[in-house]
Amino acid sequence: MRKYGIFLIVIVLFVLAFSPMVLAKYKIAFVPKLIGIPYFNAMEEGGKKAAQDLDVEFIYTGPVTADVAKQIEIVDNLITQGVDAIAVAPNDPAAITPVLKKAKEKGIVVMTSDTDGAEDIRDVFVNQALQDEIGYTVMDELAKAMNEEGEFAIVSCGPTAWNLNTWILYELQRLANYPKMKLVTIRYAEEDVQMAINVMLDLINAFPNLKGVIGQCSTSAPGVAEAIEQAGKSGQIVATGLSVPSMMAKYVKSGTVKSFVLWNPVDLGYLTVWAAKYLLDGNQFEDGKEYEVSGISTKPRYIAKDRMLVLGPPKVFDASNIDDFMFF
Amino acid sequence: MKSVFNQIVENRMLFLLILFLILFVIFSVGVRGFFTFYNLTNMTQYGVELGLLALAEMLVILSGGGGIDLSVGSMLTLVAMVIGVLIGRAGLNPSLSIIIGILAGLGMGCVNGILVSYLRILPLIVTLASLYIYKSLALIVAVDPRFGPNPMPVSNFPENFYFVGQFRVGGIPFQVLFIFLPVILILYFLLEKHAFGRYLYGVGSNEKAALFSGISVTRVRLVVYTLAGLLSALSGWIITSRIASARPDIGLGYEMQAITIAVLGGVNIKGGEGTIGGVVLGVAIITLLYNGMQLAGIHQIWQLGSLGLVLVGSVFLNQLLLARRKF
Repeated sequence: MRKYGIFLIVIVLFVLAFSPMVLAKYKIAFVPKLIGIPYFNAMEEGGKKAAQDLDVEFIYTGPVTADVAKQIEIVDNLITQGVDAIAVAPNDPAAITPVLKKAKEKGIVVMTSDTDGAEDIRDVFVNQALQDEIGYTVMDELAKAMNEEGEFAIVSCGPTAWNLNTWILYELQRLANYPKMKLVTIRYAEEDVQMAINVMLDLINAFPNLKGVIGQCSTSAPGVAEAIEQAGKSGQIVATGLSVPSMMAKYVKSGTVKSFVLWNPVDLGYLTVWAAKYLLDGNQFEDGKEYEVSGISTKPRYIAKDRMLVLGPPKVFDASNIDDFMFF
Repeated sequence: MKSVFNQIVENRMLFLLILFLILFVIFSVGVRGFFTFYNLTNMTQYGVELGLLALAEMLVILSGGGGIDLSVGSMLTLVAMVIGVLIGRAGLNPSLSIIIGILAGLGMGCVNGILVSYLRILPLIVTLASLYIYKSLALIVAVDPRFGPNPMPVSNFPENFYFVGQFRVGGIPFQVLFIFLPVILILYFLLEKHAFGRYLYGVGSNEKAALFSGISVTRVRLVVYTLAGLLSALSGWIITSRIASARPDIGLGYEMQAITIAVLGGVNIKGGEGTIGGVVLGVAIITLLYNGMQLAGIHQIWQLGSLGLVLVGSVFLNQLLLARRKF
């Protein structure tokens, strides 16, 4: 029995010795839609960097597939662990609501990041970029690549995807600035690179005067570029759109894509942790104010009516900077 | 001393109980926030849905003849979607919708049962087919005409729909007290005290002998597949209420986890052997393991494998001890 007594005392001392260190720092958790994909790995990297700079503890955990029930369970266990702030990129904006409500009732700072959800409950949504700015930037980049004239098409993905349709809306709004450009058609190719290639090959045959194309999501942008190269139309037709550097680098290097648009997920992860610390310190965001965040390259802005902190304007990737972002 | 050792080795339930207690002590000592009334009651909700499916697998596997039900996850999904669409899109009364959803589960289980017992198709093939058919039906049910041909989740439930999945009674989740525990008690009565249990074990361990002693093998099997549908339906109702959303992608892969838990609980995959207590302990061990590992901050990729490791480890240890006893 004495042996166990000593063992217990050692454990108690161990816990006592380490608990003040743990208690002194804020615990800030980020739960992505799923772990193990380059995009969220990049957000994790940003979060870790922020945790180091701001002297907080950063917890990064999430389901291994985009599993709604598992994500809720993970958030619930973070509440049990007694973290100070939880940021989530919800897989289901409605399903995450009850557990975030519970977190808030326990006095935890509750945030969404990358994707919004539980709009009535969360303290702030850390948004990568505004919908209108994304649409405008894509249109501007296409116009630049096409010398502001000629026919172009849009290859989108899910026909009902709310964010994609909103971006298209703003792209068309911006088209008014370019009177010599003409949209010939919008096609849908699901979230499937191969399908985007097939759709684009059809478009090349159907519209011989086509000069440009927008790939509206991360799979259709590389898909349309691939189709242009397969059809031997590189140089006649330019592609742009929204996608990740690792999938687009090949076409940027060959010149089929002059530039494309996204945001920097490392900065987004950094800003998420920064915003959590800012709120935990008892600060309030002010409407319209631009914040100086030392670890990132943009100046985030707060929009009070949506309780939304916007990372900044979307980022344009081209031959000059793509090599620095090949990790996502 | 020797006899205690023998008992542990021979009695799967005692073996699992000790495994459970060891894990419990390790987590209580080593993981902050584990040994609190709040956590111990809160985590039980995460065992209910898989637990009901594991009990369904137990019944089906016990009935022998290659008995297995790969469609439990799909039945859960379809029932969730039926309930969700009836309440959220058709605006039907929640109680009525839940009853219709549960009847749908009974119906799906019954179809499996008829194909297995009357048409004598292998359970593996029947339920593999129904896994895909029910899943696909769930997607079709989920299609929202307002959004074109795409399946969409349903999330607009009235507040009173959440009582089964989100309410607490004395800190204990409602679904644990008023669904899971009663189901366990009823099944215990059915298997241990009722003639049906004798028939089921008889059919599972020796089909011919059961047939000669006048037991209707086909009817017993029809009943267990139908019960599996019912248990999956209860599970689908609970998860929809708990996560406040009916989705065509929930329940994905649950059938494999349910089979694993049933086997961990000591159900012989060849049929006729296994107890409800063992399966309940299996559910408890897995719930405990997931909770403890998450609270300890162990990376999710390890949690994925832990279920398999516990299964293989416990069977291996059991066999090792059995072998040693012989010398």
